[in-house]
Amino acid sequence: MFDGLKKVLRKIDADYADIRYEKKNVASITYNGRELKKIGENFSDGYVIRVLKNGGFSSVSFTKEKDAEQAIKNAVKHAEILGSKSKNETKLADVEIFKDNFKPNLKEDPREVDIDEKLEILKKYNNICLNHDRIINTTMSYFDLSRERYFLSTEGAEISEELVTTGISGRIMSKDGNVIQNVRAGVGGSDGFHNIRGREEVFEKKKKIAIDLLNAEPVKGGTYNCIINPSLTGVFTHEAFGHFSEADIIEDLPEMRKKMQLGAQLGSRKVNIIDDPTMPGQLGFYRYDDEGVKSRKVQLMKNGKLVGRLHSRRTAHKFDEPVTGHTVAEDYRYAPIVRMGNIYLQPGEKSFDDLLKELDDGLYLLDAKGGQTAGENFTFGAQYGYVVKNGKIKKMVRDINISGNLYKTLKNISAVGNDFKLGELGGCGKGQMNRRSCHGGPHIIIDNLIVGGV
Amino acid sequence: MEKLMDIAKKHADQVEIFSIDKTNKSLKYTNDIPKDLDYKKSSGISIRLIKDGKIGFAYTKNLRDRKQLVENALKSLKGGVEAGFDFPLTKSIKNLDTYSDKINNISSEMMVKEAERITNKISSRGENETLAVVNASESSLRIINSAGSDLATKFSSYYASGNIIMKGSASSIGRMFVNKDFKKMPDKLLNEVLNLYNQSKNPVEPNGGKMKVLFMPSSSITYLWRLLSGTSGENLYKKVTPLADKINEKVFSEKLTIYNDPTNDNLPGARSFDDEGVKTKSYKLIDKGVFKKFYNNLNYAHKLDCEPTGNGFRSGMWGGDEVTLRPSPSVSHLRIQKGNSSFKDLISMMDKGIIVEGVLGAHSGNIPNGDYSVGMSPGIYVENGTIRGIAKDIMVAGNIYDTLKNIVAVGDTNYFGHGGYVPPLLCENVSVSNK
Repeated sequence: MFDGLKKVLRKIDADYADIRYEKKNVASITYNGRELKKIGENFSDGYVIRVLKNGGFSSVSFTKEKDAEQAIKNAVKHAEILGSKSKNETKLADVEIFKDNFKPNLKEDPREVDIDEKLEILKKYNNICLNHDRIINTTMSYFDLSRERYFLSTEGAEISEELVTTGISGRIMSKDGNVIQNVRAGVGGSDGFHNIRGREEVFEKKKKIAIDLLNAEPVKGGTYNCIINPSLTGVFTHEAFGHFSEADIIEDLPEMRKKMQLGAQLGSRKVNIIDDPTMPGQLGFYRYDDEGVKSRKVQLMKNGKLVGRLHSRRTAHKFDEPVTGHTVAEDYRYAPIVRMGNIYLQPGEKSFDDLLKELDDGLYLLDAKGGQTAGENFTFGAQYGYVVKNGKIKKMVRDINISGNLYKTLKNISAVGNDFKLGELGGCGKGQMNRRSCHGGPHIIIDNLIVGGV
Repeated sequence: MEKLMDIAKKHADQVEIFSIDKTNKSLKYTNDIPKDLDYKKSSGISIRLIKDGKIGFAYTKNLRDRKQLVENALKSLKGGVEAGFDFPLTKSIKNLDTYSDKINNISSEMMVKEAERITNKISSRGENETLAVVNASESSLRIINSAGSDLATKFSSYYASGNIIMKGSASSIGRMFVNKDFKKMPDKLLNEVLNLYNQSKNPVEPNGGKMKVLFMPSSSITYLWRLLSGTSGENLYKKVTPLADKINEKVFSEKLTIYNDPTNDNLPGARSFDDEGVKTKSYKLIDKGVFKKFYNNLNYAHKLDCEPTGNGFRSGMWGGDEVTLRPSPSVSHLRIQKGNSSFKDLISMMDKGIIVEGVLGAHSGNIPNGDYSVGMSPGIYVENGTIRGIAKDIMVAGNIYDTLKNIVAVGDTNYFGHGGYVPPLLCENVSVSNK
């Protein structure tokens, strides 16, 4: 494999170039209600070339080998144009060069499991969800996805690594009269098919929530102190904070960049945040990123102070900060961008009961339902919640969307629980989809969250 | 493709082959610097087989091994996905003007020059944080099936946009311009961006409550997503639409008329057939507030025992890679009938309200029910017909089946937004919550 790619690389007249060839295998099965909607296994492949020339950095992607020459011509020309127009020359931070062939340690390789068995397991979980007269529909999908990556650079890197992701995820829809509710359910991981087996209880629990939500009251819009569960802590950490730890996001936002200076006290002293793609067995695991840099654990926030940032080689040089190995692509269609791996808020010391007592009155919000940010403002949904009165969990509430300002919210984290959980499934769409985006943390209390009710 | 058809026909009752080739060049210009200049070229082919009422599907990017592709589709067929429909024989389709060969003349240098021009227009001599995007693409697509259809089309598409970032955030005010080949983005659009930004710079913290909300085309996804969920034949079949028994009933304000408008070739991307070879039609989904029609593809038309509407497209919730997707009901050419209120008129009608230029969280919440609850990205506060400034820390929430009943006025200009070609919509009595 490397020999053919080397030949292509040799044709590029540039200061630096790399090529990534990827084979992608996808198995997918989907049920809609009791109806099997799709099933199949597919293979596709393609190339990405990046070129640095005269201070300009450009990328091309193509699927047919015969298009390589034209693609290279475009990449070199574009790099030259960018170089001539930019005020500052683009450079890549120096990194250690690796030659490695890394295969992940899979407890059970999903590619060796027959598709009929995958279908059976999916069907079983789907039937669990459907087995109630108030459940009107489900969308339940199985997927396994492998990226077999070959990376070569003119600096001598020669790396191959496989990333295999497996998951079952879906939505359960319940209905009573005019009220329709839906809840998400999912299991999965990056270390094998065993994550999929024996997970009936997850779907049983979520079905019950979908049914209970029919009798819950819509939450009243307003400002509340809230306990959020690890799933929501993860989404907050990822959406509201994590994206602004990505150097490529803030590099062109001068105002944001001023606020996100290393050393700035941004959060309450209770907040510690880490991104660590090296955590074995976790969804966001990888050894090398898509520019051949070895991944490492990065402390992003320490006692509320910003102490680290996620970088590509380009942004690390531009910011004059250490390279972190966080540059990842969705697949062969994309040049890599700065991404989170496993990001989490570090647990503290409070038990869940302590948190309830401390909250006294407010809301207990659980499980994420999508999130989005624009600058310092974020919005994300919670699948369900409860009113808390005098430190006791009371009635269930629904239709919950939370909105806030990153800096105010980081300062408003008033207590951090001692439990810890990371997500099993991800899906971060920063221009490209990252199925291995993983986040989590403990239960925490955030004061003064804006909750939009209907 | 013909060879692949011959191999596949031996194993199945019906065969459909879809192929696409795409080239895309895009330039992103941030502040006064060209940031990314990317080139992508991709091809792909996908196949659907029907045998004994079951359907199989497979795709690849490189057709190195035709037999392997057919085998993958056959394996998928074994799963037992039901298909009651037949691939159609479609002939004598309307010729649409979708391709300009001038698209090939757009050089990277021209794109840089245009992005520089856009930036200069809106940057106020470098004072504003700006983003300009220029994109040129072309694609050709062909569908053949065993019923004898052989349909092909070629498109060219060009777009440019100019945005000013609200200071201290990543939210922005912007407009987009589209065409079939290169054309300078009109100054009128760029002046709109600059004027609105200049009027909205100062942060304000309005009180919450029920008020008027002006959904700009850039935030139309908020209601369109829910509306397209409600009018989908797929959701009718799944029984998750509140519109199930509401055909020919008035469900929205009479000011709202929505078209499925695929054959309008004034805009790029017009189509006379959909991604499964069904002839497309322009028709009304909503006519003066009256719900007219569920849109569907071959599969759901069969399940619902009605005629296919030509809305079978290979697109996903987040766009996606056509060949890897199966056709699903989709309104890819949505247009809302414009009204007669200028932007100025609309603002003057707002005693108190929010101009929603962009939203956060349009994709979360109870979409089938029509509920939305979105953060502002940004939202601009208006009082007594005057723009006061960017509204901090607020959310706009409601249910589209209420909100779209309460349309006060419709803007007199259509713009490209996420999800369609739409005018600004001014609605009243919408809930705004704040800190």
